[in-house]
Amino acid sequence: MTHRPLVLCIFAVGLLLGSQTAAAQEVWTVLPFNSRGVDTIQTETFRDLLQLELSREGNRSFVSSATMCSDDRCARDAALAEGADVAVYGTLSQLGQNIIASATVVDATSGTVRSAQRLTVDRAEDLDLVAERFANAINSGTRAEDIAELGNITNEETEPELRRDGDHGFGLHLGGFTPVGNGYADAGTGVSLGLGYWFETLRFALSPQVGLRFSTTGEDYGYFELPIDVGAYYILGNSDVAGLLGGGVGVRYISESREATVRTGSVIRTESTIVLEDDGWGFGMFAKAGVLLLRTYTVRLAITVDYNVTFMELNGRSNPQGVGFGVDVIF
Amino acid sequence: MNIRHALLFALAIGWVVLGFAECDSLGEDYYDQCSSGVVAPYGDLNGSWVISGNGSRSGCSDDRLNGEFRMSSSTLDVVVDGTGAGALQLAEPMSIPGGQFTLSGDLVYSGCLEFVTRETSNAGTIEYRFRAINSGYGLEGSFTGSGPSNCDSTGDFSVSISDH
Repeated sequence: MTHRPLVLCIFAVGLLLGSQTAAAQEVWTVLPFNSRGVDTIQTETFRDLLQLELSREGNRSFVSSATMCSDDRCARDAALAEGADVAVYGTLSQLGQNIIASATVVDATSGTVRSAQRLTVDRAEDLDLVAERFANAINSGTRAEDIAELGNITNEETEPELRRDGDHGFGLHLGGFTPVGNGYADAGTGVSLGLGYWFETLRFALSPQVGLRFSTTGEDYGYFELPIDVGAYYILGNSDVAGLLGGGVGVRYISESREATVRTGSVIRTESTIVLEDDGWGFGMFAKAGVLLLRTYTVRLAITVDYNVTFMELNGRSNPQGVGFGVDVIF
Repeated sequence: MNIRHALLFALAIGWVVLGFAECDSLGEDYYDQCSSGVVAPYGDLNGSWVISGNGSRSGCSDDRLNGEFRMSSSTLDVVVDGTGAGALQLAEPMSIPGGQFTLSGDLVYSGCLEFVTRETSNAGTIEYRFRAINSGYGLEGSFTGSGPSNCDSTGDFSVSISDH
């Protein structure tokens, strides 16, 4: 038996496959990109990178062309002149600190636009990422802005969104503090001082603060408190005089020296006065209301009243409470 | 008033003043004063007694009790029966919640007396030992005591006496 029929058969199959492969390949041409204010070498490099990225798709061959185009018809004519099926033309434009890259893919046969891409970068080093994004978008039929992937995110895309700034500065509190109930050694109204940081927006304010409260009895009994609080407030109004409403939480250290009467006997009775000492840390809360003055100025004034409670026990008395009042000067 | 009455009156005043001047210390001089006759008789010791004074405690197991204190008493119905030891007593026994109060004393001389109070309750026993002298302004003196809580106390006191 001769092998001629088998050889002929194999040859025919190979010819058929070859012709199929040849028929699937498109011929592309990436035209020289226009440069507006961008270094020409960078523009040429970008063009080369784009062609390289497009060639990764496979089933494509590329022919070169020296024709620079700015519209679809020119690109189509340039493609036909080179025997290409698809032409890519585009521009790199300098706009302020940014570079705007644009690319258009034109079908030479129909003259239609297959893809139009545009990205903005804030540095030339990101143009290689732009080339990659353009190629991916052209190949997938999507937009380059929508296909950010790890590894091809430009510097401008990684920059966080700008946040609105508020007015902020240190604040100084001067005022008084009046115990309520039987807390704070029944020592009466004392002094309240504070140092904080005030952050204010149009409607809200936030203020962490360290304070000092102490009695002024001058006797053996009294109290000393170190509150460390964070407060949040809603500001009612945008004029120079605005209401203030809010509250906060914190931790407090309180030291108390309390007078106590000791009695003995029921017929022959004795009575003596002693001072009981106690101190500790506790969690506290407060509610505050007031008026904010000079809001449109860099130095503001707040007149406030607040109600405080600290959850702890001192000398057998629970949850000392008090009313604070005073003036805050905010710089 | 003739001269004789005046002299006797002056002598009595001097006696009282001298007795008061010698009343500063009731320690070692107490019996000397009382026996020397410089202390004038008080008069009628029968009646309602109210004791008041000041003192200090030390050595207490409960540290809150150490230090100075003020003393006061309920009204005590006291009777004097004769003289000498045991002459002073309460007219009626006194009960207190959870215990008992007793008072007993000696009329050392007519102007000098010693008495002991003892208060017993669930909280323990408190005892005071009083030495009083007629100062001319009333009965005054010093006391020592024991209890509560192992305390030792000392101080000064005075007694106001009113009729029953």
